[in-house]
Amino acid sequence: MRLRKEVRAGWSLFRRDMLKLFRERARIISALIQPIIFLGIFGLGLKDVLGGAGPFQELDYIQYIFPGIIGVNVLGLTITNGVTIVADREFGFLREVLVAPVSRLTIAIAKVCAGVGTALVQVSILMLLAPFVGLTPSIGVLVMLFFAVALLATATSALGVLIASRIRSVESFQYMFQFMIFPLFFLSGAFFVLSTVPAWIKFVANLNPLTYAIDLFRHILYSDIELNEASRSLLLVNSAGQDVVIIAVISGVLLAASAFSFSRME
Amino acid sequence: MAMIDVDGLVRRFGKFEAVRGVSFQIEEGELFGFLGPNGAGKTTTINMLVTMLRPTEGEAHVDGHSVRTEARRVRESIGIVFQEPTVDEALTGWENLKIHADIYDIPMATFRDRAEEVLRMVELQEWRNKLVRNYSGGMKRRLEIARGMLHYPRVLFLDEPTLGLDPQSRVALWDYIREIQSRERITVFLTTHYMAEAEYCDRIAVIDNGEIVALDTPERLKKLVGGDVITIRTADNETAAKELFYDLQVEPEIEDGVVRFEAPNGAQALAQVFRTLTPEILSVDLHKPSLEDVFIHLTGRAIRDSEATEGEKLRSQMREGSAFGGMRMRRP
Ligand SMILES: Nc1ncnc2c1ncn2[C@@H]1O[C@H](COP(=O)(O)OP(=O)(O)O)[C@@H](O)[C@H]1O
Ligand SMILES: [Mg+2]
Repeated sequence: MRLRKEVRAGWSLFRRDMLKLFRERARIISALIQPIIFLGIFGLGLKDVLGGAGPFQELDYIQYIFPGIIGVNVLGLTITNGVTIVADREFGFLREVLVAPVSRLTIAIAKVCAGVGTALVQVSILMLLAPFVGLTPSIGVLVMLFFAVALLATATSALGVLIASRIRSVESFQYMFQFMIFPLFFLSGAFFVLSTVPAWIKFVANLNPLTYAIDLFRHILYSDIELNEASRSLLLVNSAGQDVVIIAVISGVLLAASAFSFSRME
Repeated sequence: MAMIDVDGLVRRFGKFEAVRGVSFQIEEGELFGFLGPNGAGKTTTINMLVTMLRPTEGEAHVDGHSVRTEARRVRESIGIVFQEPTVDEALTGWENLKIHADIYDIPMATFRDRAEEVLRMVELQEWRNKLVRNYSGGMKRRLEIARGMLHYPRVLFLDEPTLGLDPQSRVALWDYIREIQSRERITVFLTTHYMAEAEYCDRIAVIDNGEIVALDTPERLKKLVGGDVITIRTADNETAAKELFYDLQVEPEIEDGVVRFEAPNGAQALAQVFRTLTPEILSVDLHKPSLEDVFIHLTGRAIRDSEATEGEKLRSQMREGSAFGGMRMRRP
């Protein structure tokens, strides 16, 4: 009985975020500008610097960084997600939701689901760019990719909810994320092969959840490409199964922490 | 049992005590007003009653449920319009109502009829499918009130419902509030810092610095003021105030360049003023006490003073330019 009420409330809140996403198309489009710039600068620009095929014979450099672009795009969207929570709480709609007879856990879960939904929409659009960089994933690959994206988006959205429930102003939230996102991004294996970097970078990268997500994206996106054994061991750090387990554990911990923190919020 | 029963509610923010032990009861069906200047603690009190803030001390019951231990029951009993707008501007009026119905679990069949009904009450039927972004300030406020009413609450809380509206919309909004209250027979708790508006309430609690300084019907509150209120402007307000104090045995105060005092029989007092006052009289005003006068009477300052910016305060001090300025002479 109680559960049915919570599901109805949660579904409605999820629907609201999705409805707004499709209504405010500018947000989807602007979310694509950053990855296109990244692809332009790092892909096409560095391709010449690095000389031809990049680090691997089988892959372009642009193909090499494409999974990283997906990862950072998903991470970036948590910022928007978290900012809307902070703004919504201080002067907006979230107060109406928080005063309703609905469990905070439901609200936190609805927000995380909305983050995952937004990520899937954005990655779908991003994948329209894939053929232009020479990646033509099959349906099966796309399904697996969406699963992996959902897994990462659960972790990052929960992180967004967690931080938003602890922070009062939109400015400090954005500030905090600016501070976090670049180290996460650069120390994740998105741009360079982790097997060849100094040990301390490798150590930090191994603590970074984005590393595992991007590794998983590579497993999935390159599964149609013939890689020789040397490239494969250089390119892919863990097994896909290890990646899934690690990201799932991180997601679970962040989800529990965010739900707890959200329900304690005044 | 009273619909709202508040007992020694205290809320501190760090060392600062925003609400300092307020107690009052509100009966079912009452339109109860919380009147006080900005920063008096009105919103803090409301937030504790609607379970959005935990009381530091004290207890309150809404519809028989404790705000401390039965938050969910309290939430099911109440509707609230917060001081800041909480409608989603990127959605239509109807969509806002629909989400409300979902989170309060109103059955779909009931929802349609009820939504039509509340929209009719606030005259927004024609706007239901327009984005709230395109509504005027008054329309947004009305939509929020309609939404707060959607789930048949037993108590409706309204925090400064008329804040930021033009005078015309404010009057109209009061008509809606009164009509809803009498039609639905619900209890309404509202706050305002507009003195004149509090007249519409059945009972008023005057709150200042986190404490209730008076609580009664508007009529009885006005009787607290000693009769009529007289304000005179003279060529020398300071001398005039002294003369009034010694000759008429009243308690004058100088505010905004005028001398103001209360007298049991205003007409008689005024005649005496004309006979005896030595400074030249520039203008006079005699009126029955308003709630504004009640607030001045109770706190010794005008409600708008407590809101004046530093600049305004400085200017009014310079205008007064006297030792009597802003002070109040009281008989022992
Ligand atoms: N979260 C808070 N932290 C610190 N001080 C607060 C907080 N909320 C309100 N206050 C202070 O408490 C006092 C009462 O505020 P409030 O209840 O909003 O007054 P009102 O609604 O009557 O204008 C004000 O001085 C305000 O600055
Ligand atoms: Mg207030």
